[in-house]
Amino acid sequence: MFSKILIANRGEIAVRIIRTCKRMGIATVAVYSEADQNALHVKMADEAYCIGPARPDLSYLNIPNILSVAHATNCEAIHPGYGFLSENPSFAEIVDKCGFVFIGPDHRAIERMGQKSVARDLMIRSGVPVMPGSQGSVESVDEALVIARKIGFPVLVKATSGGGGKGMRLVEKEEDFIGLFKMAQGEAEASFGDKRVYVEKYMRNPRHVEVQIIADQHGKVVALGERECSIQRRHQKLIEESPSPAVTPDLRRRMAETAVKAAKAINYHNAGTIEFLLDSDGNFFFMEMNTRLQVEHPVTEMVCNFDLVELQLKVAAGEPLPIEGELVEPDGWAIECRVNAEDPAMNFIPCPGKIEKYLVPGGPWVRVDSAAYQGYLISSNYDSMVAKLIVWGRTREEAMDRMIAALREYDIKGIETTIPFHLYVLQHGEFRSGTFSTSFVDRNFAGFIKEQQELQTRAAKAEKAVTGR
Amino acid sequence: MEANQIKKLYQAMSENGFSTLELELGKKNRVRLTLEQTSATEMIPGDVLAQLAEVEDSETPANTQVEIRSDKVGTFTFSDRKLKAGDRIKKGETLGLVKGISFQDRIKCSLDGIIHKVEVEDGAVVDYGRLLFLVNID
Repeated sequence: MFSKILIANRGEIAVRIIRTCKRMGIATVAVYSEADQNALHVKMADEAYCIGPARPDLSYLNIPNILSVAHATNCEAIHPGYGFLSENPSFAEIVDKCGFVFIGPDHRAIERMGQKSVARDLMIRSGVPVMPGSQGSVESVDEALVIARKIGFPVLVKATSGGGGKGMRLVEKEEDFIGLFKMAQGEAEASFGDKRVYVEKYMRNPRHVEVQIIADQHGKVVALGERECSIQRRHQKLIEESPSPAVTPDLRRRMAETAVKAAKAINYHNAGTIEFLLDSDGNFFFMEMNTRLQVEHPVTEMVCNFDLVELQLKVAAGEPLPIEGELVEPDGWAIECRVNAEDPAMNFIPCPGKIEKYLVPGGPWVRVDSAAYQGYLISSNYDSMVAKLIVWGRTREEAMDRMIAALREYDIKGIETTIPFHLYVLQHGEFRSGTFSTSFVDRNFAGFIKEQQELQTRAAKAEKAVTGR
Repeated sequence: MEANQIKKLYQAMSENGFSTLELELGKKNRVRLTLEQTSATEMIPGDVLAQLAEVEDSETPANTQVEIRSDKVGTFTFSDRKLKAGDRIKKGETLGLVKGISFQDRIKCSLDGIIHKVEVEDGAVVDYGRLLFLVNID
């Protein structure tokens, strides 16, 4: 096992990684930007070094400075966390060439999975189901139109190098195809410097269900169950849970087998996530593979009883996976709410600022992964996440009720947060029934606004009654 | 856009040291908020961050002191001689080296002067913005 590692990240995930390292007796080196001098990961690590100004490209993405710290402090390995350099194949390759261990997959696996159409082709060849569509990228609009007609509208035109919805166009009708195809190409070129696109069948109201895998360097791949991530807004996940209410034991076994097959097809090692779209008939299709630790990994940890960061460190150090079989069945139910510094009543506008008051919920089976504290300044330079609130229950019902209690207990003043929206979702009949899809947030946002206004009116009336004014 | 929304935006801007903010609300509306403030922190680019500071001293007439900082990350070593307070340095002289994994950065002073204080030890790991020397400029 390593004796000292560098964490090339910030915020809650850096804190999360440091915690496991401390328990395992591994020394930690944190890096930080000038905006993060008072950050929790800086205080918690054994050593911390400033690597540049607030701008991410000059600090958290500054490969020479990060590697210089690793070198000067005699680190053996580098954990990239999520975001920043975690899915940058060049970084993984340079880390390796400089003699450090990259705590993640081989750079070639990152590279191949980062190119969406390459990944899609690879999955087809490995027998993993993908949405019907083009084989690889399509150059000409005529060729693309033929494919679109064959698979039937609606279709999606997606950027080969894309992500986060950029360079993606939904085409409902054939007559809109040519215009939207060219727009997607233009946007792909502007955003990623690569105008290649591909065409895929569009599924209405799918569920987003992903399978967590972990693989060692001796060919063993294990699926740690699935996560339900359909509660999202503009491709940003808000609430995740494990298991998924839509997944039966048989479906879980089939999805896990497929995910393990996909990972083996690219000689994958370390933690990864295969994202699937699931239709209402239990058919699932490969969407993409995330070659890193996910934000929502705690829900898997809670139901599978494994520390994923510990497993990452072990397999990166060359140890075999200490798990029997190829699938870990979930025990109970876990839910995670992403508490962001955003005002949900104002269309989720980011609300960076100082946290004036901060009291976290507690009690049995309540976990808070956060780097926030009272007096902490949420910078607009980075993402707006304040905390991940995770709860466990024996059943989904129990987990949901525990989450509601925990959300009500969470006391954050000074900034607006997404807590009111989470409370709305957790009490919503559709969410509680378990039969929802990725369109949930869009369809129910108006209902949330209405409820907030009613709450305000009621509060104003109550105040009037008390003060008599 | 309502007044309290704008107020919130201004608050967020001032708390984060932003002086302007442009918002696109739909396709037609574009709002530009400008916040005049003097406290925004700014880093000076360049190899050596020499921030000129007027130092008030009761015994000697006002002299000019320069902070020499590292803008690279790596291991610091003195170059030809191990500098100490009182040493005279010449413009452009290499005071030390910061060695990273793929580069070596020479730490220089852009003016003649006298070392007031050495803030770094030979072999120390220095990070971005780390103070190395205080120099009294002639």
